[in-house]
Amino acid sequence: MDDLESWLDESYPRAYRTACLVLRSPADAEDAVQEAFLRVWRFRDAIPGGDGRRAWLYRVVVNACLSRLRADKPWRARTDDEVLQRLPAQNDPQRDAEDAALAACIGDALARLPEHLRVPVVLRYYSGLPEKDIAIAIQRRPGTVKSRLAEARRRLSEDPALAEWAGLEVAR
Amino acid sequence: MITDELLERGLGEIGDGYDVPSHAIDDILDQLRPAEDIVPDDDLVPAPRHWPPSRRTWLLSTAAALVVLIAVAFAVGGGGGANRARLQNTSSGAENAVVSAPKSAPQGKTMDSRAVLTSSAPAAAPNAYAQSLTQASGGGSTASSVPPTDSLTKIVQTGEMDLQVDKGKVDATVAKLTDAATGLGGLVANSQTIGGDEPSASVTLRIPNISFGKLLNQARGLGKVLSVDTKTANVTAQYVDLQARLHALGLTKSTYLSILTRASTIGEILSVQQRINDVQTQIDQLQGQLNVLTNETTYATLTVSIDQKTNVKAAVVHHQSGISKAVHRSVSRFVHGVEAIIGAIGPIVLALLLLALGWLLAKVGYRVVRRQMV
Repeated sequence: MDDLESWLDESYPRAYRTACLVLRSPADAEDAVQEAFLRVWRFRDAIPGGDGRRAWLYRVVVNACLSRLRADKPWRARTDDEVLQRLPAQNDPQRDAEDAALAACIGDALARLPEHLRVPVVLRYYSGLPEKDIAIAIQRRPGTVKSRLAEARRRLSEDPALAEWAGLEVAR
Repeated sequence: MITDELLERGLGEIGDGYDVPSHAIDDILDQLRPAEDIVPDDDLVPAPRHWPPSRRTWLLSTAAALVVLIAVAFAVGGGGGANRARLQNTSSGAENAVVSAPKSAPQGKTMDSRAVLTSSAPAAAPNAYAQSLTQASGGGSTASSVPPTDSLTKIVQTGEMDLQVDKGKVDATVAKLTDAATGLGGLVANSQTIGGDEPSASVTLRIPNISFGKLLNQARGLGKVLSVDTKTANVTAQYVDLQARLHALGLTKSTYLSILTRASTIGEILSVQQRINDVQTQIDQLQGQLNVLTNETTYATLTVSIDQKTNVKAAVVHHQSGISKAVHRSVSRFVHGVEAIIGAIGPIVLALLLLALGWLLAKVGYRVVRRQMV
């Protein structure tokens, strides 16, 4: 039991922030993760061992988030400007400014992505899940995950601000 | 095209910008711990639910369900063979009692629905059954035909018997039955005789209840008993009810008569007289019913159907050779085997349908549970 507790304790920050990115609301994310963790505890006998454990956890978290999204349609009107204003200060002021601007661009572009593309992007590029684990988390085939990620990247690349960022990266 | 690195960097910035509430995980763990504290002793912890069950568990459960379903299907659908013989013996009750006996199957004759032929029954069975029937119906030299009851109990006894007598002895048997009934203080209520090549007769005898068993015994001695069906009905409640209603109407009539003596005008007299007439009509009706009931409880009724033996079929069978018998038996067994197989198909199909349904439900349930888990 202590092992499960410590695992949940370790997993909470990343799970919470993933939920924040999906839901774009810290309060809803907190509730969703709490609900997800309670489910994990309730069905602790079903937790797979090994590498599958993390994917399974994210599956529960994503489902809790999607349940909230579908029950609360006006989520699209939300803004995470307040989150961007609370970005942690870094030692390099220029880097801080760049990161803040990049985060604002990606945040805006991410908000425009539909849910079925946004969730894989968050899981892949924030949570760091491989495609096979994302497939488990969203209960789709790995091929579907791959195509959704490609579609998401294509749409993000069409965003003018992000395209500019992409050009800068290439120039560097 | 936007790079993975850029996306990771941007999303990392956004995600890490969210402050993790320090109390949140503690709150969650606080909610979880009480559930754990409820169980103080490991010995009391129930075995953890392993869901989904292992493949072995699924197989064992399916096999057990299959066995149970097949057993239930056979129990419901019936697994008996075509040759299964049913013997319905005596059923008795306070209100109604039915006694049936096995009989030989006369060719071309409808069998009594309560008397079922058993081809495997020993030849002596009818006689043994007749003995038990005699005891059950209270017959014999020592027992009364009426079950031991108190003086108020009113029983209506009826019986039907199929007799087979030797050729040319139908009329003589009718005469012997008539003598037996009159000798026991009874009478012939109805008699019908059919002549021709295959003569038969039907005789309805009314005898005192107490002599019913004796008459049955005597009738059995006149030929081969193919079937006997006796019934007894307890009509005590009906009898007592009629008596009580008659008593009450008698009191009412007495009251009206006393009123009649005090009537002074013609109108009053006519009015009371009309009431008395109405009561008297009811009394007469009830008294008639009581008389009929009394007659039925005083006299038992036995209907005997008589026909004569015919041995045409027996002669044909008698001339069959051993090989012919064997072929006949083989064909008969083949047909019975096919009947048994067809009879068993129904329960098996039912079991398969139930299994398919159970499998579908289990699959749906499994999916629902899995969905709830996550």
